[in-house]
Amino acid sequence: MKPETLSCDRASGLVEACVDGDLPPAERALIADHAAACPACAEQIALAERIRAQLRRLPRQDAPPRVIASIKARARTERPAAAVDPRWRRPLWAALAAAVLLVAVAVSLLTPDRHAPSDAELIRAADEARYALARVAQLTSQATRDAGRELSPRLLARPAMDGLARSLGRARNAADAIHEDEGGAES
Amino acid sequence: MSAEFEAVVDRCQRNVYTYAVYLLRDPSAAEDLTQEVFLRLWRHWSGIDLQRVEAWLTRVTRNLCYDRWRLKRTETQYVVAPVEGELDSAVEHEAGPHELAEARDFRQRLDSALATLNEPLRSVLVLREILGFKYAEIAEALELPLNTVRVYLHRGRKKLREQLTEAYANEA
Repeated sequence: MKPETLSCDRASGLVEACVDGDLPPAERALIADHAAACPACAEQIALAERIRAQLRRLPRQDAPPRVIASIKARARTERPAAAVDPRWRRPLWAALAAAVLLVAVAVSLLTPDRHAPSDAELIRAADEARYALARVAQLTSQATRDAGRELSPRLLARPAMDGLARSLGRARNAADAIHEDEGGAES
Repeated sequence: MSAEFEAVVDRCQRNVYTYAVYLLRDPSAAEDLTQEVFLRLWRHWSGIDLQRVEAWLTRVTRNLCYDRWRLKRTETQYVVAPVEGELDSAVEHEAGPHELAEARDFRQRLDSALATLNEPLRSVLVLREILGFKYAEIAEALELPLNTVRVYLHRGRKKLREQLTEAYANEA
């Protein structure tokens, strides 16, 4: 059986992993065989090794002593914020709960087994959901600023905001459909 | 004044400052940013998990650098100041003048190429290769999956290799 060989393109894509020792033995052997037969790729492997070695010798630097002294001096004059309950997001959670409730009301108005909602009810549901979404966005933004962006919005508010956006979209589509029906009836 | 806070400052200032220097390429801006990072740490001290303070500091440093770039609308607006430092002492002691000059030239080219890498490749390279962070530490700090860290690291070094290859080829 003909032994597997690497192309230069494939070898080039594996060089960094090879230099880091991340390749399984079989692939390492393929790279080594290829480099033995291809001076250009052998040069690339050598360059990759040199780059990694030189990166690790780039300097790490201490901040100037006056910067450290200034940090400590300023911290002495400022009191740290009081411990914040990990549920610091109380205002945020309250807004999310209110938003979920409002969306639930909006969705319930669109439920087929209820009486068909009036235009005013649909418009009101869409407005209330829109307000809730804006309020959640405002509180998320405020909370994020307060926490120095240490908390990724993905962890908390974004899934809720995405859900609200979808519900708002459904409410809007339903309102559009009603307006289209009205336009068809009048024509 | 918390003695614990001061100990964290002393222990972590080098990583924060170095990271800021390599992202901003402006020592003066890096000084301001380092101060801001640690003052934010102090302001949030009561709620900080000390087991994860390095990740917190790294993330805040990166985010503040991003804020500065947004103000200047580009990642490379700053003058690409070379990061000063010593060459490998083995190179200096054993090399002749030609080898020494070549080594310095290579180091400067590499440093310049690093400065042109986009994010997050540059951050991953700096944290891993210069600051010695483990993959898991980088993943936590930058909020990336572990395998993505590895992919970005390899991709970043490949870009450096391609740039240096092209630079040397153009001179040949």
